[in-house]
Amino acid sequence: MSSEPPIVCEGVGYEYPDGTRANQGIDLVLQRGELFCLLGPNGAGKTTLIRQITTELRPTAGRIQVAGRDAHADPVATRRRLGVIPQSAALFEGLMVEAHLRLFGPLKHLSREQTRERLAFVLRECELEPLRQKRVRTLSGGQRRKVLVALALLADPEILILDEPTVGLDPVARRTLWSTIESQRAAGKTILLTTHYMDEAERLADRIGFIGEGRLTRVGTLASLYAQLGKSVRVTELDAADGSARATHLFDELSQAQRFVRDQGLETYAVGRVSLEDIYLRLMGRGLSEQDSS
Amino acid sequence: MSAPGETLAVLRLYWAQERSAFQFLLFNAFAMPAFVAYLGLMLAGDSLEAQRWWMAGSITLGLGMGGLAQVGFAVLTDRFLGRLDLLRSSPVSKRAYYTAHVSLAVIESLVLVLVALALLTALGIAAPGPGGIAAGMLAALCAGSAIGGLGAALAFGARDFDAGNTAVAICAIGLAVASPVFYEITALPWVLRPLAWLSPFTHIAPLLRAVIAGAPVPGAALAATLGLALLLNAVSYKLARWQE
Repeated sequence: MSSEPPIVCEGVGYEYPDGTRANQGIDLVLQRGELFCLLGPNGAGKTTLIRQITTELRPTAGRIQVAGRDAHADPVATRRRLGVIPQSAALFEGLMVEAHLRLFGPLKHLSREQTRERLAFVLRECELEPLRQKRVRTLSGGQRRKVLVALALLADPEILILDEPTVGLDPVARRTLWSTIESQRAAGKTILLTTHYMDEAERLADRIGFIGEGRLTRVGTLASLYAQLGKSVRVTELDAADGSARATHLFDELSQAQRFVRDQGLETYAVGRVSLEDIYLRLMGRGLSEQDSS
Repeated sequence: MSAPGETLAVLRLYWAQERSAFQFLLFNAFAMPAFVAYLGLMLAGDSLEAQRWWMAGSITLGLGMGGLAQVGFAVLTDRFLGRLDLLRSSPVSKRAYYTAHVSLAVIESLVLVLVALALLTALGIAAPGPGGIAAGMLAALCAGSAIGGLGAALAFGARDFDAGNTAVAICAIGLAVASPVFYEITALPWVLRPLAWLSPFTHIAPLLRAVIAGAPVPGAALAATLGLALLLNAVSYKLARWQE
């Protein structure tokens, strides 16, 4: 195993032939064994960065190293180090779950013996044993995601790249997948995850990066992001008729929030601790007003 | 893993996935030519030469349309329904992926030609002999790779799934009608003849006529089929984008 950081991006950018910039100047270093979560709105450049790291898209600026080597110099060698769940990947509908995984063993350069061993492991790890003789076309969305995760884990890669792996899953299926991801982190894997679910990032991430308009705008641990925000209490004004949120205000302390509620004469509101979503909305520049602590 | 080993692994994956679809296509590849062959036999009467002409045309039709649909539809599904993302990240090399798809078309051609030759020999229509079987296999190999290359080129060149699907269908039916498979090329208006020469069907039909008759394989038709196979595969391999 290389002692180099698993993933290093230096000034990475991509510009389409028409001049549109998908991302630019992205500097990012993932440490071994960490789970890094990339957050950002649709079209912010998350998937572009993922496609650049997985060598599907060649950066037009900067460079990417995977395990100390130029990722794009030998794309197939790079991909062998990665376990990837592409956002739009589809399975082979006509195959049984077990056959699907077994047939991908040789494609991931596993011997027959290695395939047999890893197949037993991933079927157990992803809770697919009851489904092993089911045809893929008969599976639910959550079950298909499990098969994609199993395929990503099949070759026991050093690095996992999961592009919105829980999108469309029900709460139980999401939590099952979280457990699998956590067990992979416990096993020392480096994981790069993109998601739109803030609770997912809060629960899983060691570090979080925010990407907006193609730029990595903020990177830090959850604690450091809260510290940077400098606010700890949130007051959400609610609509008296339907209970929907009308506006959100952030405060340094609870006493300031209480004073605000009293001064404004609010009757329907909610008070809570600031969340990752507040940080996200602040960085994306919408939906928040902040009250000066003075 | 060696390149042939990787190609074989991809081939096994598609063979397992498309077994049911493959059987369907194989049925189509046999059923439609069999229907045309039946009509042909009715029209040809007792003339052995006419019977062989119709049989060669029928096999060309089945081989061409079946192969185009097989490769074209599989690559379109991969490209636009997400399977290619999974394969690329697995990682599968472009060469192994491409070779496996064209190999499937070649296998289909070989099966079709050998089974058809066996049936026609049993019916007393074909007289290929041992040399003719080998020539038939060579013809099937060239025809399958040309048709596979054409199907892959259409699928890799398509903007989206529907456009690709339409292109494959129009090409399959258009070539079947416009290529001189059941008639001489001189029956076509002179402006269409250069286009007809570019159709693989045009050159596969005389190859199969010779194989069925037990005659020497026409070198010009073999060279043209091989040349088209090389050209079409070079174009479609170039169109197959593995990295942007």
